Amino acid sequence: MRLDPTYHLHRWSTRRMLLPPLLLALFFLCCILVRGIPLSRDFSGGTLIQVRGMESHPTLGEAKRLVEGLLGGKVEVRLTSYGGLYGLDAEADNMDLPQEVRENLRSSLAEELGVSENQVAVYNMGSILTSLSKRQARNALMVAPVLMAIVILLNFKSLRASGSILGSVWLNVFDALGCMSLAGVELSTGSMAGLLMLLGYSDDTNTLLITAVEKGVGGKPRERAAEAMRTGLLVNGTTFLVLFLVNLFTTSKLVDELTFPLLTGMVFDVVNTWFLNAAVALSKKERREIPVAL
Amino acid sequence: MLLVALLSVASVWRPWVEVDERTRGTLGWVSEFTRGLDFGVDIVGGSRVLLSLQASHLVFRFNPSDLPAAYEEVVRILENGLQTRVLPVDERGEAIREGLPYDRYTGIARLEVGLRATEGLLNLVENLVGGRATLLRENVANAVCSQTRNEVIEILKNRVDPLGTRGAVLKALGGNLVLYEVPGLEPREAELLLGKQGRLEIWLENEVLLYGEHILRVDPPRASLQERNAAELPFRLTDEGAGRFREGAAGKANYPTVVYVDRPTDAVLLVQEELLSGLPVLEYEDYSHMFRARGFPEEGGGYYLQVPAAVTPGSTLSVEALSFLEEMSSTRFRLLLVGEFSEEVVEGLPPSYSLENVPRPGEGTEAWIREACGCKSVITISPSLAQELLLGRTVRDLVITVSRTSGEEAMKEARTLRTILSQRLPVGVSVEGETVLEARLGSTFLKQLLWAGLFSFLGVGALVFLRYRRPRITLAVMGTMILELVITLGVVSLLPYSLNLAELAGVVLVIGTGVDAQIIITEEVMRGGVREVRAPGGLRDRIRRAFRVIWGSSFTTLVAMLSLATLGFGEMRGFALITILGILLSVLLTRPLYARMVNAILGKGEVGG
Repeated sequence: MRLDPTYHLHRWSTRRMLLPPLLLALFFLCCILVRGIPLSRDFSGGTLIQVRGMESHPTLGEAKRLVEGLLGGKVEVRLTSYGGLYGLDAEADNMDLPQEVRENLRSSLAEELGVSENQVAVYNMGSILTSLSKRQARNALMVAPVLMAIVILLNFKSLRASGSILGSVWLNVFDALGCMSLAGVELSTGSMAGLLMLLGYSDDTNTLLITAVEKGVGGKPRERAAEAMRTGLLVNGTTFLVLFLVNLFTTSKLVDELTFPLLTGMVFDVVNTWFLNAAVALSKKERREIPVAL
Repeated sequence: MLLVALLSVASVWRPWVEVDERTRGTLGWVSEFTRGLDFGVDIVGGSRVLLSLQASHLVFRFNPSDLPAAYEEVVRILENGLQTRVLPVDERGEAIREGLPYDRYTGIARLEVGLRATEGLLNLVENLVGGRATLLRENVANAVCSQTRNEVIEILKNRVDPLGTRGAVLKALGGNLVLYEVPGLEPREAELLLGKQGRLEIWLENEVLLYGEHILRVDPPRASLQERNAAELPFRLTDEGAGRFREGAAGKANYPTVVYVDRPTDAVLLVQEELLSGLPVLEYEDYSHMFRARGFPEEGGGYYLQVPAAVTPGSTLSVEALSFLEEMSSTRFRLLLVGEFSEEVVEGLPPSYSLENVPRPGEGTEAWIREACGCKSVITISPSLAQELLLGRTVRDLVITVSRTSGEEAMKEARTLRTILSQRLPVGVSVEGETVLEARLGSTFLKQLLWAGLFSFLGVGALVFLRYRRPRITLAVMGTMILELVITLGVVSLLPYSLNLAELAGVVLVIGTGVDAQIIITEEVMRGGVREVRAPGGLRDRIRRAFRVIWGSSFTTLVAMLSLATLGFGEMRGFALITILGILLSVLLTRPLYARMVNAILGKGEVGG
């Protein structure tokens, strides 16, 4: 038996096709409501520990293990140097340490690294977002969907088609956020960029579907949708492959943050485009084509 | 297209350019072939600069019955006397946006001033305020409100990385501290761009005629035609500024106007006596304790450099200098050293001063003294201009002339000056410390990315071949991917761009995922048979249909990335911009090229059916 990924497009009713994406969205809504979305240091701020004036340099791995051992959590360690002496900068999540604990941390770290206490400084690091950039961010996030809607509306000149594309595209973002919540992946500048990039990637499969169903020639709408789905799966497949390989081969946290929402979003795009959006587009088309007497 | 690709390779490689030592140390042989690319902190390391914002919160007690008049007067006096912004803050140290800036029952008001709280500043403030209010010294703190801190961060971002492509990151560290991270910025450049407040004053007849707020805009600098090794920085005045200039300068033919940027209002100069012999223009005036340009105002001289100064031999501190410095220590708290002084001199100085060496600009003692005073230029009012002003003509455009040892240096200085003047800071900033950051991942990341790129390339090729079973289509897809990579990197090498992790990942993602568009074109064209394709307009219609899908999704990504670029999230801005660039290049150049390739391949009958 040959596995046909377009089976549902031939055999399922449009109502039945709506179920998987809606159940998935409901599940992720519950995840977000219960678990929330963790914020990274980019947004919530953090703690910076600077050690200066060391005679020799520990390796990055040693320094990381040492600081993580003292703090009991994940930290990002950078090696530094100045004027022939060495140091390290360790960034941890916001600890909001009381003064007493902070002093203890300084003395422990100084002892472990063989430096004096005044060579260790602990700072509360703010978010990278200043109040001005928060305002800019709010404006940009409000303007982006409007501009996208205009672009899609101009392309299709149909409110219904544009609405269904926008709905499906944003549902991908929502599902990816839900997945981040489920997996405990932090919302950072990297994952934010990934989520925004997902909008563009999701758009082309949705446009393929609507173009095939609404404006395609030859065959029944469901056959055209199935043909478009095959193209869409290849398109998603190549994108997924590239993202997966970049994620697999690189060890950068930033790249992980960037690719996680894209990879998960690509998977949800299949469900939201070829089930939800296909159901909306086909129901309209079929209603139009079925004789009134029936 | 081949020519564009070749030019791109040449621009990335640039064999005629020296390899940056730091890049060679981190990237090894890769650096030989990427001389045109500028790598960021993550790849080749960079610097972290700890900046301290010079601001303090002063607490005053007013007599409630004198409010609001006394409050307003004190604010005006402090603004004029300290030459700084005065901002009301609440008891939490945050700027007051609404309501009264003081407590009307207790008469307590908190004001943020753009200077560090030192004994000298507090004495000066008490002198200035007099009996109008009592300064509560025990409540004074070196602090900065988040509004000011955020303003400073935004302005510094604009100064150093206006397009957001250099990968500069600024983070508040609590208190008055800001952490700044950037690849490849020389310490001197960092100090100039980050450590200068940009407070402009133009003096005429030893009085301030114009301030920074009277400048509407500062235009790009140009080489001076009148003077060798000099650059001119044109600027335009506001209506109020033009009016003040007309009133002040009308009929003052040949009078000098002296332009200061960041004149040290809290400092005294200590100049080594041995340097003063044979100064061509300046002379030290004992009784005024200032440097004065020889001559009379109507001859372009006779102006004072508006910073008090003491002169002493390099080996011993003279009694006159010590007595003057002691006298000034109640109102001034920095001592700017011009020259070389023995330990005996330094130890004998009043302890209330903080000492700062003024770096020698390299063009003689006069330039050194002017630099220490913040004097950037002296403009003489021409007789014709003086006459026109007298007749009521309004002049809006003025020019600052910057002279250095070479024309190139003068232009560089003028450019920096333009940035500083266009992006004035509300408070002073000082560089507290600088460290060199080791590369986070360096060549390891590049190697990883290279492997990822290679496997992606082969993987995509395999997928395309499995789908279409057409070697020429597969080769066309893969060739387009290579072209996209080369052209994108070529264009990036021409822009002021630092390639960090995010940007490099962006390049790979844009190219790897850009294959979507090629698949859509191929699918659209190969659906149906040769007859349908070869029908008049058949192929063209199909390609047009494919492009409609491609344009739609490209525009959506562009809008999303534009919003990300506008958000200004540090390194993500670079990612967004490189994605936008990649999309534009592919939509405008490589997609049409691929469509032509498919056209050519199918024209020879290689089509499914």
